[in-house]
Amino acid sequence: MNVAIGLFLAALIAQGASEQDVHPRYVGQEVCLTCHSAGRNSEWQDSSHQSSPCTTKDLLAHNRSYAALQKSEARHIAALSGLRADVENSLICLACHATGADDGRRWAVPSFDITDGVQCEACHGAGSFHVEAFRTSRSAQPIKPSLHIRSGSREDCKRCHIERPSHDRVLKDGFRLSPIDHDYKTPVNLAISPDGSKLFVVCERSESVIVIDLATHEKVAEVNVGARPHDIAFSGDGGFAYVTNRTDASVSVIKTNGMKVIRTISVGHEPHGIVYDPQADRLIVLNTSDNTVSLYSVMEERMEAVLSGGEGPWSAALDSKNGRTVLTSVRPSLGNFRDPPVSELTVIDNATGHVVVRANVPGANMLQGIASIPGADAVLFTLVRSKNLIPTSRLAQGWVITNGLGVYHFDGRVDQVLLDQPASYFSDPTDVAVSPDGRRAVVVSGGGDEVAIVDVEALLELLRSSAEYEREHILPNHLGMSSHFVLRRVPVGRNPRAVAFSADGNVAYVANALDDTVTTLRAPDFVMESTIELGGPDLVTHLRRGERLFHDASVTYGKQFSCRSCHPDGHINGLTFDIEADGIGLHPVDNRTLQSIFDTPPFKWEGTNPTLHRQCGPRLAVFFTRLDPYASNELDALVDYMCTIERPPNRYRRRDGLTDAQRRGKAVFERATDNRGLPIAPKNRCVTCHSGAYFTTRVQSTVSTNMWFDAYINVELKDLSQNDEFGVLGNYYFVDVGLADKLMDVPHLRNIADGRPYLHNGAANTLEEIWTRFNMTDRHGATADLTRQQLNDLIDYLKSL
Amino acid sequence: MQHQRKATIRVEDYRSSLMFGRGLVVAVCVGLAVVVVVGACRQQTPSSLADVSPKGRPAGTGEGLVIATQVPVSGADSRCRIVTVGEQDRAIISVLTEGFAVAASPDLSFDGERFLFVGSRGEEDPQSIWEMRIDGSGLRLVTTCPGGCAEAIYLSTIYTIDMLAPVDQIAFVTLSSVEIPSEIFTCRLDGSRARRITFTANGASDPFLLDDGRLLFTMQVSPSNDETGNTDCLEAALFTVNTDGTDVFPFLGLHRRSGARPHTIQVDDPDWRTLNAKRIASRDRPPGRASVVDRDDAPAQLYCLNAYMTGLRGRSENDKTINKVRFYSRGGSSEVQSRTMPRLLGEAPVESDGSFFVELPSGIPIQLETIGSNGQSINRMRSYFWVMPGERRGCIGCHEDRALTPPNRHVFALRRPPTRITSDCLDPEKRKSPQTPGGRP
Repeated sequence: MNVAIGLFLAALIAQGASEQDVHPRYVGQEVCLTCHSAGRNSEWQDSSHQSSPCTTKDLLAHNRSYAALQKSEARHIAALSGLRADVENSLICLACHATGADDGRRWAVPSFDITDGVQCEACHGAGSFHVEAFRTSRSAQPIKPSLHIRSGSREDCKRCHIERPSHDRVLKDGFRLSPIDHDYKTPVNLAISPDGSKLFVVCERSESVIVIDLATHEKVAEVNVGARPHDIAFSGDGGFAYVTNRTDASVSVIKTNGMKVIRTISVGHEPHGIVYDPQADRLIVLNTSDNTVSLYSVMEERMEAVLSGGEGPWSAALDSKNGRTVLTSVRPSLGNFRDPPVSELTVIDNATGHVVVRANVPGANMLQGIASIPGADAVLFTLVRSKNLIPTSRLAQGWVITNGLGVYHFDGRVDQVLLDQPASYFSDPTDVAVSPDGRRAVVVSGGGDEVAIVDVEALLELLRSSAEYEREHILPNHLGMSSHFVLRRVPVGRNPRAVAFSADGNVAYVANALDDTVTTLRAPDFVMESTIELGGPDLVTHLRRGERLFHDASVTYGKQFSCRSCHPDGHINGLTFDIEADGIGLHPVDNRTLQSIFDTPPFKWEGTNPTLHRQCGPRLAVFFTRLDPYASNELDALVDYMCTIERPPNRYRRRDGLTDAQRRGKAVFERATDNRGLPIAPKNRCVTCHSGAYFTTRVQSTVSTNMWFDAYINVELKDLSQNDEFGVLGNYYFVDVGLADKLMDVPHLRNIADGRPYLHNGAANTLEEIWTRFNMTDRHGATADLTRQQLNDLIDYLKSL
Repeated sequence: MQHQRKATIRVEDYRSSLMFGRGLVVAVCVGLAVVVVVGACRQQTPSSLADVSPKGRPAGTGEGLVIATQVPVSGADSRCRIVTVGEQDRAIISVLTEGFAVAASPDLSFDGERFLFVGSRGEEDPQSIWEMRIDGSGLRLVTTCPGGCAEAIYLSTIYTIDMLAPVDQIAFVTLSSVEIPSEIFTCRLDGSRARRITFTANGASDPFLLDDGRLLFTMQVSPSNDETGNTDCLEAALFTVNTDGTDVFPFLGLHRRSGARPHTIQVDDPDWRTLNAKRIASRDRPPGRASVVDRDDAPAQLYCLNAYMTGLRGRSENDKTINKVRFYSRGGSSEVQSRTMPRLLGEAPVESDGSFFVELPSGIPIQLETIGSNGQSINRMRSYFWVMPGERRGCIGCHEDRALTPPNRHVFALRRPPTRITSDCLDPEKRKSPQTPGGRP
């Protein structure tokens, strides 16, 4: 027994008996080579390995794969993969440039060194049991080669050795990030200090808060905060500003006297909105990814409570008079399949810190900006009314997406009105502010590069004077109603995202995200008064041009929507659409994330689009925007920008690797035999389709997830329940009614936890439902024999990816 | 070719006919079928919608100029010509169409450098579509029509999924006759790929490109009190259609205006009347159209979300139950009958939520009739619509408020395959486009 094995065994003993004894751990290549070196048990170098990478020369080459991450090209590849620069800690990169990274260091013994790159255990699996078997054999004779170890095959090579568009784009096409790309500011929110003297602008790209002196319109400070900051709130006396950091899951506390970050508060994941309640001396932070709301006591410097929010809580408005804080939700609540979306307004009692109302906003999604109406016992909020249940076969008449405002009255009533006009839509309404006197509101249209000036009194009067039927059915759906309350639309800068009123109500400030400016609008007419430059570069880079196109609704008939309209933060809106190209009335398709997708071709749920250029070029124009397609250089820029949309950190993953449950789930995921010990056909194993850095082989497959409505099947209406799309036919699957199963794209599984709903048609509200409700025939993986614990473990593992 | 004589141009009622929101219907009763237009000059009749001055910057070579059609004052003389006139001094700068027996209806390109017009070299020649630079150079024949062309305008681009890039196209109108109504066609700017985009029973004309890229045009429809389908007294109503022929709809509803009011341009010139004056200038190009219309044999579909939806209201207690919907076209043994005789194509069920879903023959005029539980007719369309090959057309209801957006509901009809409606009952020859343009010369 040599030193390496001795170290390994010592480490095993030191860790003691635990869950880890049930699953093998990574021992490292040095341990493997102790026995499997040339001339000694070197069967791995026999003829069966002649065509494998397991020659000494090739093994050394694979070992260098980790070092490749330190090359300068790596950060450009990472950018196109939607990863932040820390490639050496990226699971996606490490999946092919290292060994065992997915399990984490918790599942390795000290002899294992991740910097050794791709090692034996990358193909053969963690080897601790194999080594232990050798030790306990008490024999110098070689143990059975396959004992506790995977045999490995050429299929293992294919997990990583496949075409990677991100790598080709950098290594072959020469794509490089421009240094200027890091210099943009991208203001996404703003707030005026309580004393009215300064404007604080939250800049997402520069990850800073820029402070503007409102007397001179000069920048007086720029404070670096956390990653991807989003919103800001002030303490009552203005002594502190609190900034949510989306990627860092934190809040930066800025001391305004000195303009320094003095502390960082950990909150939930992807926090967006934040408000400060002076009565309770409390921060209310909206954790969009968690669907939670953090209540943080500023005085006590502790988390008071974490409340359950809606789906994707986004922004909050605090109403001191009514003692309530109202929160918007960017995604609709999970409901019945093919029911119209219903989104939640969450109302918190400021005194108790409890949720007191969960108000439904029927037919609406993308609830974002929100503001109290002084003196009206109501709040205004922006919304979108997507027509996802009818075919997207035209755009006129608001056929795909309409955009509007909601009014939540503190008596519980919710009204909706549209800001669109018949041929001039008000795309991507992302924020609203109400003047201190409650008479005017300014709403921004991120896709239309304009704001709407709203006569609040006229809006409320319209609601009061309308009959019940009109309030419920006409006002939320009529393109002519905005003429009653929209005084005018005013062009501003590119991609306005946020708006705030000065304390006296005479000026509205609009943050223009994609030209790094703030527009000032002067009351009473709200004409553009000036433009405040935030200091971003004048040059528009290739990626910046793509970012602008992504947020620009002018590519769509009537400016009805932009890419962002369905992909906030490059992610999803939680809806399933009936796309014309697939046949109308059937084959609904779930919206898919754009985060980290470059290396996951083919695209489209049927997997028929080999590239993003195909997906976003001709197809987008003909079946979605209905206008001219992007010019070639525009499409290049758009696609490259989309590839850089960042994937947020996985909130289900511990820093040191998989939890015990997740590790058990991984064993289920990789199992080749069922609970009875019978072999599972390769087609029915999870890893057969879901492997590689993104857990997709990128090969179209048939897994019987097609359902009766994925093709025209003559079913009787009596078989369809009006309340349940699946109805009596719930158990009838595509193949059961005599049709050939369709080939479908194998979706990647990274951050799958944030991708609700699931399956190509969005039928499954949760991961659990994929198997408990929609895998009756056991064709989408062999799962029928799984115990409840095993299924929970499997899902826990999937969430960690 | 300077003309020293000054012409005073005065514009009357220059834009009155295009007040959006009011709409325009020129109620025209004609004695027999539709007006028989014998020459392009006659097309310069007051109902033309193309004489709106572009508002953009003056074009380089045409700066300070106006382009217009001149018609001889003498009624016996059918010649007409296209001239440029100084915008300020009102002097005729040049006659651009020397050598043409007839030339009229200039439509300026978006850059203000070229214009399309209808003209013929010889007096007996049919009218064709020509293009010329505004300095008179670069004359080329774009396309011809067997029976003659009446009007032509520039469109924005068209794009289909198999194209490398969008291409420019134009729209033009064929001349009508007793037997054959005028219809609107499109073709590429080089004259290729001509395609008919209107399929009316009684004629379509006056194409006008809206800022949103759609085409506004007039269609001859039966009066509301006439359900016999006779053509003795027709009304011209405004409709919109995409430039690929899809999604034809009434333009903000059908409106009537009492009395046709000419929007002529008067000229102090003893020999010529000057019409259709347009300031030569560039203008914004409306957005192009990305189209699903491709192969001529692609099936077309129509789905209606709620046949009970009329105005702002859905079904009420007093509404009769709609059991099915019937589809008619025109078809008879003679040319005239083929335009006047309704012909039943088929019928489809209407679901309990008011929805229906059909596959329809493309490229023929179609009329809808809702049928109640006892087989009685509940309502029948006055006008016709059509579907283009590959079009999957959706509508909310029957004469719903055009500003009303569709209800977001997965309707029953879309849960099953469409009912197939065919045109087998129609004579195949009658289904053919009566006036196939000559295409690229």
